[in-house]
Amino acid sequence: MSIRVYITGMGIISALGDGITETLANLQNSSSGIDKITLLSTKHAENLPGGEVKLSNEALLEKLERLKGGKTHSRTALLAMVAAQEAAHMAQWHHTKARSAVVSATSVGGMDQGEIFYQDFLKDKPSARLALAKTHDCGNHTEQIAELLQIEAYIATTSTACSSALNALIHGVRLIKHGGFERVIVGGTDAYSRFTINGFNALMILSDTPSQPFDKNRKGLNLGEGAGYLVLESEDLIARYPKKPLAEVKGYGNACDAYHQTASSPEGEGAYMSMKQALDKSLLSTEAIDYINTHGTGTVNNDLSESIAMQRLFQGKVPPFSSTKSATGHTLAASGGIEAIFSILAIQEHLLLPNLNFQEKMEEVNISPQTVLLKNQKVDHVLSNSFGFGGNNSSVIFARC
Amino acid sequence: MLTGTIYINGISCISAQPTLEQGIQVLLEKNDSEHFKCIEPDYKIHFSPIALRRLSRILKFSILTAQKSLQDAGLDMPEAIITGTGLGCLEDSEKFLLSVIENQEENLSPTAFIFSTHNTISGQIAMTLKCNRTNNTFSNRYFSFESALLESILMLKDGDAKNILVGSTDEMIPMIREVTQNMGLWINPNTGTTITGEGACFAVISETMTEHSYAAILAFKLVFKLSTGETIQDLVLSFLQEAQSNIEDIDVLISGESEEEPQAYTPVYQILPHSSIITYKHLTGEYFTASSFAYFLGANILKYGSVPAHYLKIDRMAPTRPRKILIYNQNKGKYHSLALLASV
Repeated sequence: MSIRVYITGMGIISALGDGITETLANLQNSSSGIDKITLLSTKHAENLPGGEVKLSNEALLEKLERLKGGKTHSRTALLAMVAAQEAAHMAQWHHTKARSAVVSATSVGGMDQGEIFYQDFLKDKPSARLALAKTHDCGNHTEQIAELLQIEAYIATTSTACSSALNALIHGVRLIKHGGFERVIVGGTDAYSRFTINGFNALMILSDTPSQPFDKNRKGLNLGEGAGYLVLESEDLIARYPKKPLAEVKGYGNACDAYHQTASSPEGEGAYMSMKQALDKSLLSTEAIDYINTHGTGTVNNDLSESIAMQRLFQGKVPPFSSTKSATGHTLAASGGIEAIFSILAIQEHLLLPNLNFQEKMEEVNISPQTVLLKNQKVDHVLSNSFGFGGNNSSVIFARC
Repeated sequence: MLTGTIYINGISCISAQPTLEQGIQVLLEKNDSEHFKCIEPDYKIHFSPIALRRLSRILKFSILTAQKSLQDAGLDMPEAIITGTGLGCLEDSEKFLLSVIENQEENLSPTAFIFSTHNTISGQIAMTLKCNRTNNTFSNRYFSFESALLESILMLKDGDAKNILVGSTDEMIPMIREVTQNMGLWINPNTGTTITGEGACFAVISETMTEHSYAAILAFKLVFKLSTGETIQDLVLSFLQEAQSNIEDIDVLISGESEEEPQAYTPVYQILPHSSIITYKHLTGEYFTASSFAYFLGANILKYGSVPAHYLKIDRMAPTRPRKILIYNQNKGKYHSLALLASV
């Protein structure tokens, strides 16, 4: 008999809002967080719009109640702790005794500080601050979440580019099902860095206007930053500390395109397989899926490949789908966490979330996304996709409970 | 704490010792490089001219080590590829960052960026094998390899795979060697010299024993921080108890002792007075995934039934026919990992 895993807390920070309440309000207003970059020092601030969190590092630090002072934090870690703190608060983390772990995700870790260190190091070695370099690796921010939430038993970090947070969630689910843990906080975080913006710009997949996922004339993605964390609990722990869970993790899958380091295969093989695995694991039929929160980056390549995979899996009956990246930008390793939260909000509030900026259907496929917010909908099962560089594809199914 | 029987059915390792081609029996006393640099093969035999140009060192030695472990296991296609790396693709990360700074964010080539992400390693192995199944990467300091192994074992228990290619990899570059040395990380505190290493180790694990099986993992436990008042002796003793083993059963302890903290493992040596003790970091160096070498050593010792003298701590006897091995690693009181290996 398999242990069931539930979500009991969520925390979020992105260009669409600081915290669940503000984010939900902005989702319900079909707002967008895409704007000019104002905080990061980059040459592309004017020409490449994105989903920047409009809070300075100092402002983020002030939000962290239990943090002991005196440490250097990357922006990646600050975003993570702000979101993790909210999720923990909702799940009454500090009032629940449980065998706990944290599994967090990031693509470039503390690169926002690492690149400053490196620039100083090139100019004048002794002036480069080692404290900044110490925040650079992926594991640094996870240690900081562990300290904030007093987690001692186990910590882990996944880094599979844009699919990282869903892989963190899947590891968390397995830790509860087979690893003896009762509670795991999972999620992902990534801050803006010049490294990432210039990397995506060099790949020529950034749009100079707000992105148009699944549109015939889509020009590319907008980068974003942020963090999204969820508290997973075993059914036994919920029985011990009774509370109404927000949703259940029903199925999960991870597959690999094995096609190209940065492009998806034309037939979307990895995307198809990860969605199929998640469905098989959930024991649900394709008809049971009420909404798909897609990866939907707005690049020519991803949106076509993902559409083909959805058409293939759902055999002409593709459920309503949308890309909320049109509102947040692509938050990379955080996106799986942020969009898991959007998926659960859709279930809780009976919403179909809109895909902004869509105008014209792609010629190659027969499907088009949900473009306006719909309320009072039957949304019991949501499939969430996160696909990444290196052909990493992950999918998770959330269910009403 | 996980218990059960997980078989290591193939394993390969590249390190500062000639392990990739000669296993554990041959000792290289002096490695002339500034750190414990991998002894690399002639990549020309293994890669096309395009791949030779395009792939960084870490990608070349990881792909090669992964392929060798599959051959060793007699397996064509795993159902998952899971890699742990502490610092990922450093060479390409530095190359791209340097170009961003030098060219002031203009007219950049994306190639180094494309190969800079941590999951490039698992991704490139999948592409080489054309493996569409699960692909994952962990990057968490001294648990990078251990988390990859834990997720692999959990996947087997979850019924989502039968054979998993799991491994670790890290490369060292001059800039990071200098920075870590300035930080006081991975150095001998008495001499200030670097003990930084690098390497990769890949294994095929499964719940099914085969004719290629090296050893079985009977128990596995990771502890980030000890609870208040708990000592590493308590940790080891409770691990053995949960694994239903006694201290007398442990023929060999493979210790993560390094010059960085030479006394850290002494309390564990004291509670295992009859076990042989093996150390390896004086020959392979310290890095975030250094402990994977212990699994390579353990698997080989159990398969071939003997311990090469150069890994043995001098004040202990060599075991006659080792059947059970305890692996223990930690770093400065954190990231404790324990595994119980048995012969098959």
